[in-house]
Amino acid sequence: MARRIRITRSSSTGWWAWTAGSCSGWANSKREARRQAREALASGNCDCEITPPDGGIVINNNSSNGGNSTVFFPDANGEMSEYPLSEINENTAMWLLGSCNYIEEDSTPEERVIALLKVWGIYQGGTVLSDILLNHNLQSNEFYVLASKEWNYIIINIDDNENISWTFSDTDPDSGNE
Amino acid sequence: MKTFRGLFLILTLILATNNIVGQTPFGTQKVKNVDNLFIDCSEVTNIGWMEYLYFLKNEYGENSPQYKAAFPDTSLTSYSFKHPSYRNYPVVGITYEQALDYAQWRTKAANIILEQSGKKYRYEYLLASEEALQQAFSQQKSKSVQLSAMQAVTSKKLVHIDDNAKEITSNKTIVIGAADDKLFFEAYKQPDSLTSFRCMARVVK
Repeated sequence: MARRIRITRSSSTGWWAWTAGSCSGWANSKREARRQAREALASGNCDCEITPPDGGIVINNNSSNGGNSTVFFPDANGEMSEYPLSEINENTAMWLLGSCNYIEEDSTPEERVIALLKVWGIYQGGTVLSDILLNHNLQSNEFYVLASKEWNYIIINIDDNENISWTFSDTDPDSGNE
Repeated sequence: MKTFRGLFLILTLILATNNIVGQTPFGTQKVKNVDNLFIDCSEVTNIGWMEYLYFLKNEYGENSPQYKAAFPDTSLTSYSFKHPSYRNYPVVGITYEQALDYAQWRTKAANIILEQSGKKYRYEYLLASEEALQQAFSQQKSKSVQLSAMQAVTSKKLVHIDDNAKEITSNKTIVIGAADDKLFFEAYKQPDSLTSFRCMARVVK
């Protein structure tokens, strides 16, 4: 994909705002803005970063994420699994992967959380908030932690009856066991 | 004849440019019935604040007290201040003093552009006064309420004065808000997640 430079006029000051990949800045002329954007791109520091949320997640069950897939994602065991794009739209997949190509307005919090639950192999149905909360024993605040990827560590316990319980933690729950 | 036409076109363009852009400070709309007073079309946005931070970082350095002191209190925001999706949201978690500093900086930044383009006038940005906000509230078109901050700037319409967010005013003790289609004033205590601000501006010859 071609990396694009965008130059726009700041409505606050009349300066020229530039974006280049994940970098941005402002300059007092369009030419200077373009020069800075090109320089930033050439530095190699503005590439779109992919940061999958695979670190710090502990899932105490063995789930399988099979199917015909075009999305590859770390499963509960940290190994790459395939997941069908037909079940997760492309934009939400971008969010899962932490891509800066993701457009916030194009995926709802429900879609994001459902996608997470699916790739973790623990989705138990529901498309509206109340059903998702009920089916997965989630509290509203926990739902939004998931939807915004703001967790540090999560332990998800699933009993024999497929009842789910969640523990959100700021510290690595495994660190004391080693 | 051809030269005359060319000259006429150039003159028209110059006049048009001065009329549309020159006398209206960036991002503002004229406050009706008040001489030489303009007000921001919308609250200062996150991207507007990031522009400010960018300048401070370049001028004073990443570890400077000036740069560090300018960050909003992000513990008050329910979203990431720097997340691209929220760039056109009103900046919140700002103190009265931070808003004052922003207005001063914006004056300086905007005038650099005027100076380098040879304009003889300058802009002066200030925190919006209660009176200016009241006047703007009365001229705000109800249909413009649904516009985003960025759309408001593009379309030059006033927005959000009557929404549920409050705004810091030039009077340090007062914030202004709206409920049931009426403005209200309340005491300003500290930054919070529902209080933003906008600037007013004057053209200084």
